[in-house]
Amino acid sequence: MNSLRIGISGINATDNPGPGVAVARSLIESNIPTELIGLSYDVHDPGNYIFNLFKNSYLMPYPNRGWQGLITALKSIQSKNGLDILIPCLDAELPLMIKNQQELRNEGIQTLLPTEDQFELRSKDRLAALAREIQCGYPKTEVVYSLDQMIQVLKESIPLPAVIKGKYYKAYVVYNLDTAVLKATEIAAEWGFPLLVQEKLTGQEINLIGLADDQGSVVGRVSIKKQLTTHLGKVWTAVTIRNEELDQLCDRFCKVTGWRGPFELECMVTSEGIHLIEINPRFPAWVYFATGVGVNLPQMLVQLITKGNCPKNLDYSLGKYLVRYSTEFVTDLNLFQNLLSLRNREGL
Amino acid sequence: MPNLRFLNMSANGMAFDPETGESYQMNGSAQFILQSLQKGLDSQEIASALSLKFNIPFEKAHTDVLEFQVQLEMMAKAA
Amino acid sequence: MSNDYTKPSIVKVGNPLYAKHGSSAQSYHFVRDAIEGVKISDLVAQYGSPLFVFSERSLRLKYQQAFKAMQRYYPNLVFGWSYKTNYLNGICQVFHQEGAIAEVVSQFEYEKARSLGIPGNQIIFNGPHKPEGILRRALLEGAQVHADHFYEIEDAEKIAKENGSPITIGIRINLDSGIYPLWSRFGFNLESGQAWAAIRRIAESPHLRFGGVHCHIGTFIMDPTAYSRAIQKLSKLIREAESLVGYNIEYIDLGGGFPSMSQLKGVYQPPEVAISSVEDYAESIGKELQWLASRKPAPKLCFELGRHLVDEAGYLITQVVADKALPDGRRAYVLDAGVNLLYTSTWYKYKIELDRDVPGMMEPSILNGPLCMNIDVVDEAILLPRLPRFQNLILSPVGAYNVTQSMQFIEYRPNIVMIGENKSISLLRRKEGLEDLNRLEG
Repeated sequence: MNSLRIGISGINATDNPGPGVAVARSLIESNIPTELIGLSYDVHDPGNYIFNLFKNSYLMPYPNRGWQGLITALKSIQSKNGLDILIPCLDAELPLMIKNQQELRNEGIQTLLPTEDQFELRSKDRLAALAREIQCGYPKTEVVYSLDQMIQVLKESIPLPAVIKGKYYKAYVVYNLDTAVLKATEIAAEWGFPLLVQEKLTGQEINLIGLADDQGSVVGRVSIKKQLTTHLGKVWTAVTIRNEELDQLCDRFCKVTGWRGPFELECMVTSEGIHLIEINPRFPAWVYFATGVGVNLPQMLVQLITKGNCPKNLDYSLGKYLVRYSTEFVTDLNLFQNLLSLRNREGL
Repeated sequence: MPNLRFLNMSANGMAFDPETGESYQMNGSAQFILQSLQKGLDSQEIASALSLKFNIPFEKAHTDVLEFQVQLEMMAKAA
Repeated sequence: MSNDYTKPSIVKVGNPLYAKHGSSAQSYHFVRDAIEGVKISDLVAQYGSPLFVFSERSLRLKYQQAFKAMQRYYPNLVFGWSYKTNYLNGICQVFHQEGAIAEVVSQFEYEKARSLGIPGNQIIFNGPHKPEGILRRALLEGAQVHADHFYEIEDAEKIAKENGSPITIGIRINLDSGIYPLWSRFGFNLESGQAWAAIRRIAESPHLRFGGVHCHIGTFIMDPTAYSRAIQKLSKLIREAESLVGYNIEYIDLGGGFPSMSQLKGVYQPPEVAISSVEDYAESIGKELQWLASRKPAPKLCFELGRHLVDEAGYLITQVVADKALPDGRRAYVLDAGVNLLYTSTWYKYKIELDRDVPGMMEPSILNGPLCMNIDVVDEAILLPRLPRFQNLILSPVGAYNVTQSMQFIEYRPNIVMIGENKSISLLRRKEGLEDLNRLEG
């Protein structure tokens, strides 16, 4: 069997890591013969330089330049390297990938992504309705298009303390207006408007990573409780858990939306039950935790893409402990130069 | 301006300044001018060489060399 | 000159100006060598640069798409072409041929519509400034007039009284549809009871008849559900008004505000992701209007789309005049078109294409216009290969507001052409000359 050439984005394994490097590690540890290609949005992304994971790594144009830029880059990579499967791991690129999955297929690049309709269901403005349908709570959330509007919302409909969120990245709990403005300015400068203002719930945050086949049936899932996190809420240590109510919620979510592909449910357990805070339409950065407890979701994703099915794997040990640590290695500047001048590490 | 004596140029259009750690990216004509500067040629000499190498009028080449030298100075001062 | 020569170009890696774009290696410039099959180079050779170019095919297509989308939900549908968005005669005529009536907001626009052969009863007259003379003409010619303030209701009453027969008038309403900012300066506010007072004022006058309501909630509304919320509030008001006056309204006018495929500054995602389809807007609106759609006859439903119909049809071709290196590391280009022709560049980041593939590394660049004014910036942060002098750039979409708001300031205003559906080129407006400007000074 020839190696599958798989492109993986989100290889920024920094203190605010993307999932790409963890997806790559999971695939390297699987029994599938693969040749992994890093798709990077920054020449400094650590994943660019990890030889034992990525055979080569390519720089991509920013998604805010539109599909024309992304598909030009992907076609160029395909002609230089070959590209059979794409596992997009970044929120900002997903809308474009989802919208254009047919064109990717026409180019011979397979994906397993939700449809546009499914993706829209979990968008912030429709999440409240979806939460009702799958029978869970949802904190009051409003979309704001300016700082003035945010202040108005905080004064009138969602009182402080509240959570200020970017449409794609970053979320901060704020306790006063000054901090709200500060944090909103910070997020908007990087990711633009709109922002979300969300009611702050009191309870325990738990998270679930899952994978659904193209029939909306869950083939694998693992739940965790984050213990130590960075100031952005990125996990540093965590423990596996199982919550019956969350598992059932996960099944209902996939069934109702007909979800296909990877996802993460971010939830809050309060005295009134489970509340859905956010649905991420991709693997989270801690995807390797699931692999480490025997549920290799990236491997299962590749199986779903190539064979159309894979054995269910819902079994894992409770009380397993995840420890993330930072490390470093030494490489050569010419790789950096190759990326900058020729858009790929190997200088092709 | 980077210290030309040490500036390390590679085939892929990149240059590395081992004294400051800065990297530079440049096109073919810029690389040609920098290499000529490293050889100690003055702007008139470089313009002649550039004009020959790329088959462009001397007057154009002369402007480009002078303008490029100013850009190198600016870059040294910029953040 | 050798073809493989490009002017020397050097960029320091890690230039903070790259932060918004990634490094130079990441970007690909876009190439467009023709508009509707007509070569950019041919257009420039014939009509010069800068040059506004419109696509007739795009105008008609956008109109038909929007009309068809709305028609699925509502039978008695009328589109009024928003003159202020682009009132070139050639553009107005295309929309009128498609079936649009005229939507005007001033004496000048009213007279323009009439001069194009549009009868008064095919004109919607909006806006906060309707001097009595033109108001009288419009009312007596049967235009659909929307009062913006109480004085206009009084003026209409006076005109009706003089004329000896009742006159129909509607009102513009502003309301909170959950979008920001609230356009409360136009028309009568709903939540405060101002709109109700205006309706009462009309209802209680023996000379006036209440025609209907007009509500334009804002511009570039990215959330289709804002229209649903507006209609919910309007529906309640309409029911109350109808029971007050004792007859059914003739029309409901929802204005415009649908976005175009333009990149609003401060929005991260490209328009292809950020902007909903016209079918989504139609659905949001249509569902709330079922109660009126099922009436026999259904009152007229009016839209005054502007930007949505014309923006993507418009391109501006402009040329590089000069370039220089700036001390901050950017490459600064001077173009022959600037904010004098691109009023909307304050809010939108245009797509910028080159008419050929230009080789070389990308530099962080800034595009300045030709005005001797520091504010004349078309794009302050873009990655481009080093462009030679006279390189053509194509900016889009620029069809909305840029022609009507372009200034005769420092430079003459350029030629404007339209490429017809048969690829023929027609001159919509010729370039200005000194004689045009001196004529007004006597």
